[in-house]
Amino acid sequence: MNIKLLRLDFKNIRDFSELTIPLFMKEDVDSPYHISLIQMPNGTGKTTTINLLRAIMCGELLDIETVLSYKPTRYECKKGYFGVLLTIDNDYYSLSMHFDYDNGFMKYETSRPKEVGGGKSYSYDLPSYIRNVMTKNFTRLFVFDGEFSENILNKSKTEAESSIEFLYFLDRLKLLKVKAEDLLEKKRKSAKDTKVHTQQGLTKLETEEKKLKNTLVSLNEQLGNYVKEIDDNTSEIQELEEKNEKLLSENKEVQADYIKITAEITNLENDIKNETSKMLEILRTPSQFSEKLNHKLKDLLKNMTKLKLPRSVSSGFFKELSEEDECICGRPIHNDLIKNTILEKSEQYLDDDHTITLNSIKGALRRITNYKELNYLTDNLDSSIGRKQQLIQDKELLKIKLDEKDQEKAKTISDNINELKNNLIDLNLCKSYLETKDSAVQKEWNLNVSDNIDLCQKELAKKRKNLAEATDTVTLSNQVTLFKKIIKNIVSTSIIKIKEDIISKSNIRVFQMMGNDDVILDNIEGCIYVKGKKNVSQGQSLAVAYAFLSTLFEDSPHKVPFIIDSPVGSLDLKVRREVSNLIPDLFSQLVVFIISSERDGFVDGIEKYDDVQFLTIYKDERVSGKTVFNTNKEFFKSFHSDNEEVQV
Amino acid sequence: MIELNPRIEEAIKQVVSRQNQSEHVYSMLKNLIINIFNDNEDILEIEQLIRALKLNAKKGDDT
Repeated sequence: MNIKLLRLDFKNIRDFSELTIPLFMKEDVDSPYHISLIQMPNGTGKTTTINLLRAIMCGELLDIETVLSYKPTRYECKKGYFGVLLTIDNDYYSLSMHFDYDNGFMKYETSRPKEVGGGKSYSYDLPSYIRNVMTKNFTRLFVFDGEFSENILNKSKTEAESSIEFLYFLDRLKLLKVKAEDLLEKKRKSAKDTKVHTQQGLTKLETEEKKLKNTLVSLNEQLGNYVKEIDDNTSEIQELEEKNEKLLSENKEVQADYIKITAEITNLENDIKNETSKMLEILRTPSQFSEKLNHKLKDLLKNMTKLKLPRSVSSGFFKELSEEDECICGRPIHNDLIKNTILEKSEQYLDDDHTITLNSIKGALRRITNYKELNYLTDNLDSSIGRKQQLIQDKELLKIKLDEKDQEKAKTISDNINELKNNLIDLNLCKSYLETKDSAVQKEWNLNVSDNIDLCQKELAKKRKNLAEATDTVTLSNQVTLFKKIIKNIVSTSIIKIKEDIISKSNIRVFQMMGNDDVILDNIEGCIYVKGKKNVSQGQSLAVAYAFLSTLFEDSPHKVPFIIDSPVGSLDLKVRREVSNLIPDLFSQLVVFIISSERDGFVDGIEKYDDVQFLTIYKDERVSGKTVFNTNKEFFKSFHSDNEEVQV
Repeated sequence: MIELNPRIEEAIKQVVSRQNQSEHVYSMLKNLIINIFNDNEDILEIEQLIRALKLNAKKGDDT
């Protein structure tokens, strides 16, 4: 940021009915004088000007009392005005304060004179990057008076340290910590399913996840056991049934009947299988769902238009045919009339390409068979199944014909089979409890994560998602804490290093000004501490302030005009000369308000510069205190007012 | 464009090194701070940097 002040304008501000103080060079109105010395006796308006400059640069809104204090007393007026013309990074801005003395209000206006239309705005409307820097504290650094020099050495004040922080943007780094916290808060709010933000909560979630994982493993083991038991039972049942069969087939009394019944059962099973297949095949054909549907589909075929060919691939056929000597039916194509007739009539047989789809539908409809009654198939099937059941019962009844010993054996086998079958039912039920994924069934059987695999898996997946979210939140929280620590350390380390630099360079400058090492800056902790001294004189504090400020701005990214009220005050001649030698080189623009008694020693050093203007502003008491503005250097150097004493 | 003051750059390097963070983190932090100084900060940039920080990586205590 590079600010240059070009002009100050007053209207109806205390004793200034109308005054313009130009700070730009006559030869180049876009550039200010390097140094503007403005000599104003006490009571002319130096302090007023300094205060207004501070306020206008940071857009401060003045209270009613302050506004009314600017109202002229020598004459009546309703309104007042103070404005500055400046450039900021080579862009022109006109900033003005408008005072309404009737009610004590004020407002700002900002315009950009070189913009088309003036770019006027009825507010303090500098660019945001300027407004962010141009705070009240910042303006006090370059619109300078003796108060600042006292404050930077005052142990109850922290202006020295805070000026380093905001001049080097370190206060902005502190805001980063707030942004990091906001980020974390946003993350916490978006993690809807988990309220876990701490390591403790995270550990609890991890334990729950582990427990669910173990439950799932256990349930799967149980399932495995059931499957094995079911297989074993099934094998055992099969073995016992084979034993049963053997008992019957090897007994001479029942052998013949047994063989006959067994053969018939086998045949019936084949018949049942075939009949079932036939039924399924028929049921797969939509036209066989019902007789009514079958008729409807045949009617649809009748209503569809005759076959047409797709134009894109078939029009070429007719063209070629028309060029042949013979038609496909064998008749000669011997003149143009026949050729043209073929081409004209081909249109009746051509259509858009969706014809392919329609033709497919027509083809499928043509293949529909007549509706076949399914009833005869279902009757046959019922009959076969019924007969099979009967034969199985007959086979069981054969056991009655066995001898007592075999009957006992058969009964034992049957009892075992029944027991195993009952066991199998229980096992299958338990297996179903474990396996079922049907939520209605899960609800009906009151299943939960500890007895159903599907529910356990779902709960585990949910827990893992929560854990991932919580882990991320906790991790982010830890990272934000670390980030804040890093930023804090960067700020504190930067301040330490910058302070070391400032102290070192400032001491060189103080020595240059004072010519001795009576005043040595020791450190900066809030305020500036001078080595071995509890108090310093006003002159010494001024020297320290110049040294500090000039060093501060030297490495700062901001280039601002340095505006000083009473630059040398109570400094002795030697120090004044040193100050006048030092400060012009440190600032690209210097605006100095002095009284005549400060000229000695100070103006000597300034005079050697080419681009200096010498202005004198005073009240001519002979003309009712009218303000006089003089730009003559010799007048400046010889001017004297009775109302001038150096303020001690 | 506001450049990074050499003392601040030194401070960043020193702190990042003490925290045993990577060169990548140092580079991101430097860029972020330059952007802050130039009113160009981006919340995504801040988040990326925070997430790039290694936890439990500190070498020694800081001042």
